[in-house]
Amino acid sequence: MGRFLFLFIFLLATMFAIEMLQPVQRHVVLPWTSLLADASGWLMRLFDDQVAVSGKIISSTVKPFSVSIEPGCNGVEAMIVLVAAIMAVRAPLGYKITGLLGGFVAIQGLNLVRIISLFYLGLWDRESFEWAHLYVWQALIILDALVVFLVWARFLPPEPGSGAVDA
Amino acid sequence: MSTETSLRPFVVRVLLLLPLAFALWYFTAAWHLAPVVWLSELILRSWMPDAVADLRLRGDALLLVTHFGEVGGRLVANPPPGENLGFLSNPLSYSYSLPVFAALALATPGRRQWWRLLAGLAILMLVAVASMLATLLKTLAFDVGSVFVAQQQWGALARNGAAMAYQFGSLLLPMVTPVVLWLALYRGYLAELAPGIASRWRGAR
Repeated sequence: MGRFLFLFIFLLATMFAIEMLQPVQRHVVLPWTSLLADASGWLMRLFDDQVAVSGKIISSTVKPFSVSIEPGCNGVEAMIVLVAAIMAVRAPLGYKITGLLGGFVAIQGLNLVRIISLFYLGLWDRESFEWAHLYVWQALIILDALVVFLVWARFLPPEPGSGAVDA
Repeated sequence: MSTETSLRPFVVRVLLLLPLAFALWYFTAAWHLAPVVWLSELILRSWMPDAVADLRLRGDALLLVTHFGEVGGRLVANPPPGENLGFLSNPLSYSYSLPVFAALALATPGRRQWWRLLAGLAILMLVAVASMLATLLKTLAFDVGSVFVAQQQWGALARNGAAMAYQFGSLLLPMVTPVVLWLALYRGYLAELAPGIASRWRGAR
């Protein structure tokens, strides 16, 4: 486990530092965040035509309320955590790719739910919005990443020669 | 016969315990934040006594009182008494790792081993100190700005370091540490949940 933790922390710190670089922010993170805002806006407009999207900002067209999707709210950090965890485990490449794709869908899917729910929560009550935004959704997103990792880990076969047998 | 442990009951227990853990954490904020603030103040005032005057809780908010202030429209060091700049921030925004870890630990089946829960919470409080220090350094370096940077003789590297530490401390550490601690402290249960991964960790020694 020591090797896993060392590799995990090393990969995590490296990827997070890369994510912070201005060119990466400009060419990857910001476009991704705008895409996320567009996707959330598109989903919301399926049942609510009083929503407008501009860049990474989602606004109500009838009330003075907007949300801006900022670092920590775009699912990138949770994806980095999951990528670091999966890459730190010795496993066949096919397993890793499957885990990463599944994790991407699970984390970004839940993140869309987070953005949409926060938008409507903010329209309704500012204090509830702050609570959900700062604490509850942060916890749920990282738990989502943990559950994806655990599900993925359950599909891993025992390593040949490790002495472990199927029960 | 399969001895594999099901994941679903664990996840359900975590989701049921999470609101309780959050409520307890929120209503006891003054108690669990007090040692974090005390240690942060001790470190900051030893490290930069000419920049930090006081650090204390005001309700759930953290108040940083600096040795800087505005005189004649300009920010200066050591302003007249009563003119010190203060900054309020929300320390709960980086200590939510406590209820997340508590929910994970209490949802883990098996013999209750309270030392694991207490050890995890103690480590997370130290992590909260790191997050608090990173946040306060960012406040000093970027909100107080050039006066602080000149006083401390900080170069671009130190400022960039403070910005990076803030990103790590406020975004990444609160998110990652409860999960990493749970994986490390409850690896026996993890081995039951995912025997494949346990065999890889054993084989990697």
